[in-house]
Amino acid sequence: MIITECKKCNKLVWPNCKFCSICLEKTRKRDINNIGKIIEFSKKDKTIFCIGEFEQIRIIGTLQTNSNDILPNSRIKLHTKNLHEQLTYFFTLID
Amino acid sequence: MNVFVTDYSSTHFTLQNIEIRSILLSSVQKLLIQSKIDKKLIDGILISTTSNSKYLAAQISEFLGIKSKFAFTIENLCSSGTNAIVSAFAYISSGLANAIIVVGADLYNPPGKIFECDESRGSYKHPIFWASLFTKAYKRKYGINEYDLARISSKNYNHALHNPYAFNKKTYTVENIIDSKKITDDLNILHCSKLCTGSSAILMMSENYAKKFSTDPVRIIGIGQFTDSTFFTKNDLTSMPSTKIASQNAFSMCKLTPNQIDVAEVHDAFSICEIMAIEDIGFTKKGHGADLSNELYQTKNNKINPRGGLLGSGHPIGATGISQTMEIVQQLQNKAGKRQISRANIGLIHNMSAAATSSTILILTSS
Repeated sequence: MIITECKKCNKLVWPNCKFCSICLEKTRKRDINNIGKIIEFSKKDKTIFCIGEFEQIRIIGTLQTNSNDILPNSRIKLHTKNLHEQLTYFFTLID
Repeated sequence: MNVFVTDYSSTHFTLQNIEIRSILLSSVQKLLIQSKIDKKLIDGILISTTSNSKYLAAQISEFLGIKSKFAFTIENLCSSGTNAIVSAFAYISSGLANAIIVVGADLYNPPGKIFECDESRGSYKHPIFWASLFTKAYKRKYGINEYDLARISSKNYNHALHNPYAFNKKTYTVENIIDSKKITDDLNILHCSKLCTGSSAILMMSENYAKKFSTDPVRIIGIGQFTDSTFFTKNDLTSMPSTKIASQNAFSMCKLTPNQIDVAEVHDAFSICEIMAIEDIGFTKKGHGADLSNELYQTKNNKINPRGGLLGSGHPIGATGISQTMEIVQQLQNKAGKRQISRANIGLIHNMSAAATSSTILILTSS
C-alpha cells in the first residue's frame, strides 16, 4: 500500500494528499510498513472488521482469521485488493 | 446584537418517497401561516439538506412568493441543520438581516447516508461500522454492558411517543432492545436511529423584530462549533473531541456551566453516542455517561432527548438539527405538552457529523 510522506518534515499524510497537512510542503509516495497492530474490532455475521494501525496510519479492514484469540494490540499484516474499483484492506494475524 | 428563535414548524417524520422540494415547501408554508409574518419582512432563506437538488432555496422562495436578499443551501452532513442556524445567527447579529427562515429536510434514502470520501474506512463506509467500533471500545474501557445501552434506546423510543412528529410510535422495553435484530456483535437494530423523510423549519429574528412580532421569543446565547478531522479513525474511539471543544466554546460564550442546563437534545445517532455526548458536554464525568442515562431511565426524567432524540424521532439528516432546536424552543416556551420539563429556562442542542468529527452546540434561554 502506498502512502504519502512530507518531503520536508517527513510527516505521514493519510489519506494520501499532495501537500503536507502540517507544513504544507509537497509530499512523496512510499510503501507503508505493512506490519501493524489492531486498535479495535467487531464482527458482522462471520466477518471481523477492525481498525488496524500501521506506522501512525489507521484504516478499517477485514481480519481474516479463524482464531477467537483476538485482542487490541495483536500484531497484524496488511494486504490490499482492488474490488469493484475500490481499494479494500485485509489483515492477517501474525503469531 | 441579540438573536432569537420565534416560530417553528415540522412535518411528520415518515418513510414517504416524495420530492425534497415538496417536503421543504410543506414545513415553510406551515411556518409562514403559523407565524403570521409578512413575507416582505423575510430577509433570507437558508436550507440544510444533503440532497443533491440544486438551487433549492430559490425554488422555495419562488413557490411561496418570498423575495429575499439571499437564499441558499448549507450542507455539512448530519449537522447541516445547526450549521444553517449558526449562519443565520451571524447574518442577524451582524445587522445584515432581521428575519431568516432556516429549513432543513432530507428523504429516507439521502445521499448523505454514507460518507464515501473517508478512505480510511476502506469498504466499511456505513455508519454502523464506526458505531460498532465506538461501542466495543467504550465497553472495553468503561465496562458497560448491553443493559446500559438498551436503557438509552428504551428511554428515547418511549420519549418519542409524546412527540407528534416522531417516526417511532411504539414502546420498547430493555429486553425488546436486547432481543432486537443483531446488526453486528456490538449493535442491535434498535440501537440505531432510522433515516427517514421529514422537514423542520424555524424563524429567526433580530431583537427589534422579535419584540415587535413575538410574545415569547427564545434567545440564542451560546454557540460552539469544532471540526477536528474528516477521518474518525484518527481519534480516540471513546470520546468526541469536537463535542468537547464545541461545548467549552458555547459555555464560555454565555458564561454558563453544564449543571445550569435544564433540558438538552443530544445527537444519539446510535445509543453509544448519547453516553459519549453527555460526558463530553460535561453533564457527567468521563466513564459515567451510562450511570446518568440509567438514572434518567429509572426516574423517568426526560431532560435528555425529550422529543425522543434521533433514536425515537428518526433522522431526516438535514432536518435533525432544526428539529432538535424546535424541541428546545418549545420546552423553553413551556409549550412542549406531555414532554414538558418543569421550569425549563436554559436548553442545549448537540448536533454532530461523521462519527463526531465535527460538532455544533447551541445554548438557548427563555429569559
